[in-house]
Amino acid sequence: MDGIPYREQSVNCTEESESGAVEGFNVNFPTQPAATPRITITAEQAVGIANVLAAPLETSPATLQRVQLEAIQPNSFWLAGGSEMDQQSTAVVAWQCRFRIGQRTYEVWVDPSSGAVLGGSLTQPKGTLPASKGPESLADAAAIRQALQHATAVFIYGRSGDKTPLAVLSSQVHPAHFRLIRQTSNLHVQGPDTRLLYDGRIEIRAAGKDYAAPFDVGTGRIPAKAHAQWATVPSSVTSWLVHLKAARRAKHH
Amino acid sequence: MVRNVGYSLLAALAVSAAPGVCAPSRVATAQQAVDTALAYCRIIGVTATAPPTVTTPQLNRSIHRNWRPRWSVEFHGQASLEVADNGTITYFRDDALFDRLDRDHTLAGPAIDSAAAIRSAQAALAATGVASEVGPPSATLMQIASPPQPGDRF
Repeated sequence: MDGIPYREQSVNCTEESESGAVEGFNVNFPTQPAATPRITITAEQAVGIANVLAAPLETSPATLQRVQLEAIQPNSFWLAGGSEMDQQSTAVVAWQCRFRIGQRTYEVWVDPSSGAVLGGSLTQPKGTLPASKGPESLADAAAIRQALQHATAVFIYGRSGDKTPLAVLSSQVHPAHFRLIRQTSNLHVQGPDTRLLYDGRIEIRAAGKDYAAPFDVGTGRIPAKAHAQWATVPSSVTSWLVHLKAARRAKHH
Repeated sequence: MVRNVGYSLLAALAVSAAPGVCAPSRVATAQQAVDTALAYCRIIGVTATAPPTVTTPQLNRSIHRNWRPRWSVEFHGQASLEVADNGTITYFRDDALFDRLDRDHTLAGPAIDSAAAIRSAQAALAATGVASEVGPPSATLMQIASPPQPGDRF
């Protein structure tokens, strides 16, 4: 484990600027130490695994920025309906594969002993957010449904200005869920945890174009009297998908 | 002469080895927690003479993220600390210094350089029991207000 950095675990010490007098410090170690990893997957193999997940999300080519061992807290970011918010409380060592694709930076964390994907993240610079200059805006249900028919990826954000999505769905990685999304006539986004929700948005990547649709948490509806209702965005989209299934069953019965 | 900015120095020491590590001594009672906190204050030269207030070990109630149960020890108006069950100091705040800076309404002068800031942080961490777990440090000079304002010294 020597030399392997922990992700977001640190000691932060604040000092007065003139004198260097220590005002305080905080030891931010939220997990127990990670076990020493058994490494049977090479960095190159890890990148190959990671590329399968990250590359299809964007039309621009993926550029590998970094691959290194890092102690991370696994999350469900790359699982269907997953989120990087629901991180586990244990730390494990993984290959951190970081890609730059267009304006976005994706990470895929690969288990160095099994090759399993343990989680990941997405960040993007503030200047690329739709609020300033970005995707075409969708304001009614028909336009949203049309975009979803051709969607290759859907990004869900709790706030319109968030840089990190609550969840990402890829048509290649999560084909069953996309079939569901396209077949459902009454889209309804709802989840158990509304604490993070204020003025959310979704982004839809379809046929080389980006679309953005805001939703209004106050009313639970897209601001243009949509038939489709986007109520609250879940912290885990699993509940959203469950709800879609329920809506679909209701239609057939 | 115009004094310079309201800077605060932040030295963030990234972890490169296992968190948790060396256990100076087991802390099982409130008195042991106080003794550990006092010993630390003595080492770094911080006054801690006020009667201590001790809170029993807690995992989740503290806003500071750490997996170990920690005692909270406060010397009112002087210093606040958290002492983990293995005897490491996981949180420290020089309350007297904060109060002094809060009352100081002059502009801050020039900042020390990052190497000196890191040395100061390392000295403060040396006696905590966690210093051996942290990796190469980095320091960031942070300005609280732009333009700098008198009183933004902490």
